[in-house]
Amino acid sequence: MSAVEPLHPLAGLMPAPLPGPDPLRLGLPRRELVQVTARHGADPTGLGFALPGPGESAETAGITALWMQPRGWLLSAPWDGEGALLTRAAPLAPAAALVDQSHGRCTIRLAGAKSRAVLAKLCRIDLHPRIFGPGRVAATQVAHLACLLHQAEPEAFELIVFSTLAANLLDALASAAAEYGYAPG
Amino acid sequence: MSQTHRLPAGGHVERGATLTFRFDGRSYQGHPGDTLAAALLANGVRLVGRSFKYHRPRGIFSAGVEEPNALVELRSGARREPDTRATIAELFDGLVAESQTRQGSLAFDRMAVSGLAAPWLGAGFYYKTFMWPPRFWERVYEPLIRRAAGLGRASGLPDPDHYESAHAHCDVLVVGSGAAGLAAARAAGATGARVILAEQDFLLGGGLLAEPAQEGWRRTALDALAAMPEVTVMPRTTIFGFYDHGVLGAVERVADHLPEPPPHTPRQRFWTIRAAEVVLATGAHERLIAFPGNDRPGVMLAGSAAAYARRWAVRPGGTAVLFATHDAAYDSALALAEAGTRIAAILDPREDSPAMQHAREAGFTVRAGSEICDTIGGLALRGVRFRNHGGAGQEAALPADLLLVSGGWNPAVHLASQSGAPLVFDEALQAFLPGPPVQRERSAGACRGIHGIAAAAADGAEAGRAAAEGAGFPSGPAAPLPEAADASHAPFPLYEVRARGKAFVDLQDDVTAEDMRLAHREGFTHIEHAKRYTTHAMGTDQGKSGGIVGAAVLAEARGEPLGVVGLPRFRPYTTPVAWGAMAGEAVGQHFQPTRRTPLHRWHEEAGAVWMDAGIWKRPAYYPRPADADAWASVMREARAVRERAGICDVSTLGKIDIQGRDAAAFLDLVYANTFSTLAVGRARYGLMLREDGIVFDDGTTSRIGPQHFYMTTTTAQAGPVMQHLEFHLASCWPDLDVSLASVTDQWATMSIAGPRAREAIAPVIGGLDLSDAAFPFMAVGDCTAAGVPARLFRLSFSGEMAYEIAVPAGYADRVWRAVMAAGAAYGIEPYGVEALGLLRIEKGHVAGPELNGQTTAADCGLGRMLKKRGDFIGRALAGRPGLQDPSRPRLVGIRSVRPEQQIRAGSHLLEAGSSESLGWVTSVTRGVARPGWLGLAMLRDGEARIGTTLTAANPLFDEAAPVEIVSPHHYDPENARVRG
Repeated sequence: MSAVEPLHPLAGLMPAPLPGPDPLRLGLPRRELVQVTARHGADPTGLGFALPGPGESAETAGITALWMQPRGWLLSAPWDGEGALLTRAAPLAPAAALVDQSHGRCTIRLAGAKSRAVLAKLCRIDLHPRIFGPGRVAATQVAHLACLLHQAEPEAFELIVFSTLAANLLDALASAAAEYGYAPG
Repeated sequence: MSQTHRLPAGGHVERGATLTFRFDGRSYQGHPGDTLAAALLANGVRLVGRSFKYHRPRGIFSAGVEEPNALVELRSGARREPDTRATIAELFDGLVAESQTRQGSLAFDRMAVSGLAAPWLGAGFYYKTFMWPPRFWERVYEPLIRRAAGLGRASGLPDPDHYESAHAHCDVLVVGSGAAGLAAARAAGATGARVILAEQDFLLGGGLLAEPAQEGWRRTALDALAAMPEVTVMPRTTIFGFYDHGVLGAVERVADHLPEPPPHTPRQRFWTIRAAEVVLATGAHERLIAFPGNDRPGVMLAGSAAAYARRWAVRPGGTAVLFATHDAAYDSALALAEAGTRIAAILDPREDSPAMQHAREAGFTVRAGSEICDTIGGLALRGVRFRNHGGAGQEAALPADLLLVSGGWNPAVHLASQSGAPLVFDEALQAFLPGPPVQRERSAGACRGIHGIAAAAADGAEAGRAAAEGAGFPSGPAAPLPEAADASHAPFPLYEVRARGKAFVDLQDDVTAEDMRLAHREGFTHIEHAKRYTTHAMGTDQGKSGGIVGAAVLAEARGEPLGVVGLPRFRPYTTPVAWGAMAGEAVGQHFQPTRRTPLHRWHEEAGAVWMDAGIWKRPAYYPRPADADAWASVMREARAVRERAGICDVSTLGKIDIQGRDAAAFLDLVYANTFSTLAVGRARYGLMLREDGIVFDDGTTSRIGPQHFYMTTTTAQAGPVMQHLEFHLASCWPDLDVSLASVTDQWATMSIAGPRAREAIAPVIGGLDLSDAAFPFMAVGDCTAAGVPARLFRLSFSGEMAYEIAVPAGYADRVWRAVMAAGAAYGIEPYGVEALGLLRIEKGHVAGPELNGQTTAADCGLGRMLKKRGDFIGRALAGRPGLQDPSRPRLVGIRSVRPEQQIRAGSHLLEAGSSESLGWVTSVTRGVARPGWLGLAMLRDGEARIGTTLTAANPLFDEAAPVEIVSPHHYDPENARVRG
């Protein structure tokens, strides 16, 4: 409906690059997010979207479903215009309540060889490859903020956080990464 | 001459590099690898401090964390840290340290006279003596005693360093890197398990560092660990606490060994370690013996003296006497002799032992069946007096400047005890050992009484293997173990030599054996009571060396076995941890997160003065140069709303998306009033009660579709309301088809209020007919705002015609600016939380000060909202007689009889001449529609008192303002203006 680009909640808040021995990359990928909550007695899993079990993620045609809570998922897809993901998720509507959270949550990406070491300062989840790993998801606290932590790649994590609190997480990530250095990217 | 006592070879010091440091203003030199204590001894410094209570001269007593005496103020300025143990402070170039507990110089302490008064200064002296007159305690006695008592001074300045916290996880945590710990880590690591080896020292090896013969094995073990990718070795890391469920706390001294931390490096790091299995290889602390003068500089634990000789290549004395009760201590005499110290004699209360025979064969003078009964000297030891064990016969004296003492070894059972394992007394070792584990931990080596390098290493290897197996890693290749001839560590049970003079059981706290007996005589017979009465084992060393000695003295006084008397309970922290490390990064602006609305940037650019609303930052008001003061700004903004139009960011209100077949039924249950009758496209004010019938929250809920609602809550209760709804849905009505989602952050909301509000937003809003007929008060509809999808609500908090525009947060700035531009022609102004408050008080709407968790719906004048039919949360308990009492304070309005006389919130309402409070003022403001001070209050028999005059008394400010009691609706009581 609108071609207007929304403002990112962290617009202008990305810290300047800090050189260091093993710099992290801090990114703000623009995502659309839709919260999916199964309706009472309904099963949304057979409606064209892979909806994974606890602690996991699954992908369907470029849409990643992240397990968020019992019978609840967050769909994430690259930004494609206001309401686009909600429209694509419509087949789930008979079995699930759909709520657009594209503005309510924002995604911060942390990548680099030291990303686990940085997160160890902010989060109590064991991220060792034997325990965690690409595709895994944890609904947890990072820097004391409620956060959906998604390991996207062996050395990259995506942190989905309430937009009005996101500046604190970005700040905490940059502080924790300072000993290794960081740069946007 | 520098480092006069340094040996020409050996030890773990880097002789190639020289470090310069200062102690009490004098410059000295040492080497990398030294502790401050080792470097002081290398320079012949013997006197390092004064004692806590008696100001007795004290020297370096140990070589580790158990040090009671050598506490110094380390560094200077803002980095000055008191009570740092010189025995673990790693030397760095430029280190500055000062001795503590002295008035004047260390050698001529003016307070040393308190040593002369010592006979009267026993345990409990201060409590018993400085009792009268009572007021003297705070003003005279306590300041005097505090000045006289010891320990260092905090800098009093902000800490310039930063600290951080971190989490670690492992299959096996090994605590301690002596022979047992190294072997355990290696055995566990060989299975492929994730292993963390934590060592408090900066070098790994523990006691092995004083065993040159085992250096090859130590290095091989370290190389093997370094080659294991899943093994993490953490030097300079103290495990200070063992908590439930395999959680341990640790502090890593990242930069304590540097003059100051490099950029972006924390000074210390506070670790929370979660381990599947724990191997405690914490070793043992050598035990002192209580005899008169056992605190004189030059008296040193035997094993520590050997460590200074072998690890640090320091000769701690010229002529030494060894006073020991077990065979293993004889090795210290050998170590000192190798370092060039003359061993004057070995005194041992026992009659014979293998070590005695070996010592005699090696040419040492051994006096069997003897004990030390006094020391000779002033600021330093010059000799010892000894006698036959038990006191028979003549005393004799020996010249010596060093007295090595070993009364046995105390296994470091602190962490095992903290984990819940009981302590069991071992008669042979005269020591408390860890009993059966409660958590998944095991002790290995000296900390469970398995002494000696070879035995401890074998024990450690087995513990490491078993721990890995317990964590699911069954097998790994075995590694070679060290070979050594281990001497017996089982001591003769001699805790105290009773003779004339002060025999200390706790050097740091100046507690003597006699103090323990005094505690017993005065009824403090339980070990925990005796500890607190005497302060025994309450210092930074926590009685690591002498704790059991005091317990043994108490046991003798009680006439009971030591195993029955026991030790005081071990609790975290095993060694002192700096507050900075505990606070971590949670200081300053990182103390708690701040929450920014989507319009934060605009408010910032508009020069808003911020107000904290919980963790939110909200604009309080927007000052302008012409405003005389804050009130002028607030009144100007409020006046704009009453007369023209204002725009306010209300994005902080909680917003909850509610969907489902049973959504309406659910709302009927959680609200005290009815929502199932609400039409689609309409909003309704709702009142929520707690289970106990007290008002919980209020807000508006709109019906977006037949099975779709949008609830708003107050800013403060957004989280609690969401929890409340989720809890009741999950636990009380799990069969309802209702889905909840917090959309507080998804939607930005702005309120545009005032008689020109409709005209101000009309150019911005698309897709809706804004006429009163099509979009009346309490209407809701989808629309566009500045070209983006939006929802419009016709709601009012101010009492004026008002609209709320909700837009996806990323468009908030765009829409706000569009409304500001469109409203400029109508004189629109942004207004902050202060004006918002002014307007709602004038209108008589309740908010947080009235809904304070103590008021009922009826108290707030909202009693009629409670539905008569159907259940809802709080219905039953709202009917309690106490909540139905008609005389309960009720909401009323108040107005200052003299309009310009300020009323303060919190004032009590009194009748003239009475001091009986009839109620209290909840909210006050200066009015704009109705000039002068006015407010809201909770008043007993409130309605009946309308029209009367009371006094709003505020004793805190010594104020009393006459106020007229009126209806809470100071403005537009007919509520006509909201309807347009």
